[in-house]
Amino acid sequence: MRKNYGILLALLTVVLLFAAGCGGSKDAGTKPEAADGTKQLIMALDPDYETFDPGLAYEVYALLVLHPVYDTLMQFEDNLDAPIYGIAESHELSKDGLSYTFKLRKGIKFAGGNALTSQDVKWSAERSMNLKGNGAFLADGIKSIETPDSDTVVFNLKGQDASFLTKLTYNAFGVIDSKVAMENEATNAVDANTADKAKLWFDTHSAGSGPYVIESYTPKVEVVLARNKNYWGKAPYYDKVVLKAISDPGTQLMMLEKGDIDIAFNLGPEHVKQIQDKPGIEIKKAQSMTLTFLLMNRDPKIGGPIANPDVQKAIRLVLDYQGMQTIAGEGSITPVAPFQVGFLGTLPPRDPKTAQNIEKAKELMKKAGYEKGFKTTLEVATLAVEGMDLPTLAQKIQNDLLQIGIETEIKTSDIMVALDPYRKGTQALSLWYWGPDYPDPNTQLAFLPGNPVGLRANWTADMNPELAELGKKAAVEVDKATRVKNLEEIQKMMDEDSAFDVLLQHARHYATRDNIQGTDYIDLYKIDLKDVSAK
Amino acid sequence: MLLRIMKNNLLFSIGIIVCALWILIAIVTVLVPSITPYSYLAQDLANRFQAPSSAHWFGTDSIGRDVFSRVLVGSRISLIAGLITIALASLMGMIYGGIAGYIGGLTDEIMMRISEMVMAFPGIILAMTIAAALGPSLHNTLLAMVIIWWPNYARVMRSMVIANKENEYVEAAKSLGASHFRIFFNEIMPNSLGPVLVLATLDFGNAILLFSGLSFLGLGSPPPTPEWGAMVADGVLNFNYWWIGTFPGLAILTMSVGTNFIGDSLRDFLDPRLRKEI
Repeated sequence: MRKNYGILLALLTVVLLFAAGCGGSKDAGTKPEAADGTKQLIMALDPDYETFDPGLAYEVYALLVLHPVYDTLMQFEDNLDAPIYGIAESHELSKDGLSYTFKLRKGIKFAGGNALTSQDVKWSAERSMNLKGNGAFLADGIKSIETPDSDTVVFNLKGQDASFLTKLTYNAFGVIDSKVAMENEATNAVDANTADKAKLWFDTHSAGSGPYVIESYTPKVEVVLARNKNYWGKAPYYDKVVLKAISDPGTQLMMLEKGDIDIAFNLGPEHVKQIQDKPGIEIKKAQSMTLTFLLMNRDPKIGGPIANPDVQKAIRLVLDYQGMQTIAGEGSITPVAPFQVGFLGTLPPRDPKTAQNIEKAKELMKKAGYEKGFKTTLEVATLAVEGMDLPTLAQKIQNDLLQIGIETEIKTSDIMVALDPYRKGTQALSLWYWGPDYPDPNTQLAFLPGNPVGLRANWTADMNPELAELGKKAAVEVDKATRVKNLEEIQKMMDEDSAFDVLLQHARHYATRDNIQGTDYIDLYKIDLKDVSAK
Repeated sequence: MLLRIMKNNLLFSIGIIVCALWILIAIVTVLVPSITPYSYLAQDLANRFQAPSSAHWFGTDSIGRDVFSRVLVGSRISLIAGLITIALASLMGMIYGGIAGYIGGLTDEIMMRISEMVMAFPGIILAMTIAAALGPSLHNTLLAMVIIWWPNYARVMRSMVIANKENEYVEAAKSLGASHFRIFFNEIMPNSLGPVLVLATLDFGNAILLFSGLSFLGLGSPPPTPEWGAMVADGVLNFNYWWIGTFPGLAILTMSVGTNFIGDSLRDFLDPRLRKEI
């Protein structure tokens, strides 16, 4: 009997091998191993990353790549929960709430072989602060960093900060091998923003202690991550992770169906409908923290009539949020202010059926002195946000604005071109998207007047001192009930007066081959690549 | 004459009919905008992604616009783009090549090397670079197309001028004391135009195709202009709804093939060695 089983098994193996051989590239998705036995995960996405320098990267997809490469003191396992330890073993908070003392795990080595010490933690954080990159404001609250011994690092803060531990999960605090980095012209000196020449090196190399290292990066083509053989934790399943830049959701879908990729990350709701019954594919849905919003410049020299607060409010009232939610797809909602539903203290979203009030919008236009309307430009980057084509939404907005006489000309440009004027605050009216840097409502305070995103609309603190003041209070408040009260008040004020109109909080639609697991959505990282494995 | 050629040449007739139809559509939709079943800009989100039906002959796109109306209105943009590109490029090329050929010598050498520099670049890449650098808009795209297109005409014109300036009637004009200006425009130009005109007709379809390609890449007019190329790009974004991209694609196909048929037949007709076959 046993012998029969053996023959049966042999036969089965032959049949399977034959089938696999016939499958060829068509069946690649069901065979995670490449020809040479390397286990490889291929993910297609529409990336926005500009750099992989942990001190500079700030884009929505930056942490997808940087989280598995650079370890942080704190990290997230599940969405929005309190952070758990990364390379920190324990921490203590001083009685005055101003100094955090972290003990590091022992025996951690960088991919290059050097030991990770508290000096590296301090060096990396100081470099991020002094590079003054887009993410540097996360470290604004830090007064000094001390390293009493090689396993201990102390952060002294200027004031109390309820979200400090959460901020430490961000790549600005990713720990870099300072020796390797300095060999490649990186520095943590005060003048790092001019003296540091390592950005280009960091784009194609890495010096972290995470489960993966950056093997190569071809802009607009792919990023290849390879296993870090010196990794201190549980080794990830895949030897290699390839992140292919494929901006078109339709192409992503076709490649997933053929099995050329394992994860198609930027599908729209329309695409998901098409693959509902296809075998071998698993559809995933999640509430994303990504917002799409309209920036309306407050500087009359840049915005012209757009800069008028009444006009901005009229625009908020004339837009058809229900129509926009139709375009963005099932599960999308419209928050009142730039605070995502799901965060502490966020108000319930707008009712799309009643949010539009064309009569009132017309009155406001009259009050502002633009009864007859005006002409302006609506700037938009050509890319898809959570599977929704931004220029398509721009055309919907263009259509809605006509109802109060605002004639817009749509100006499309590549994301690489569009980011610069956006960050410098030289766009009059533009359509943008936003993902929070750390899962805490405090990250959204950036939209307040005088804060980094607010200033992109030239919305300065003196234009709404009350709101700016409340924002400062909310940022340092530690008591939960008071936090909620402050945040709610901020949202109500921003509903009345804001340089931003939040159009959508998206739902995330993506799909994977059904033979992989560990691909649950975590807003900060999108997918935690080290957790993905074959079933 | 037109009818005689048409009678003997099927391809030419098809070309003429197709192009006449498109030109007619373009003119009528400009003069009587309400002739399209829907406004080409009217959005109807309740009826997005509708398959072709009696209400929407070519279906609707991602924000519920009628694809049929947009294809009809789009004809004017393609026609104008082709026309302007060829007109400007041939004018510029004729003057440039004419001057080079007429003056000759070192000036000719320098001028022709410059035009060859432009020709040495792959056309579509150069056009993309120019259009992208200037920012996407109809003007800039047309400018980019003119910049890559004129050297063709300069070369043809130069060779014609060089051949013609040795003719007796030019000598005669010279001996009568005619100015260079007069000789160039009254004697040489009219006798060198023929081949340039044929080239222009042949190129018309190519120009429409290049323009559609650039606008497919997002380098044409900004949305919501119903450019065929941009509509095909929209169809690629919404790949599951075949009609969004297919119909504007067919429009590009018919217009460029139609003009190519005309161009080919005209060349055959004007070339004495091939004339018998017509």
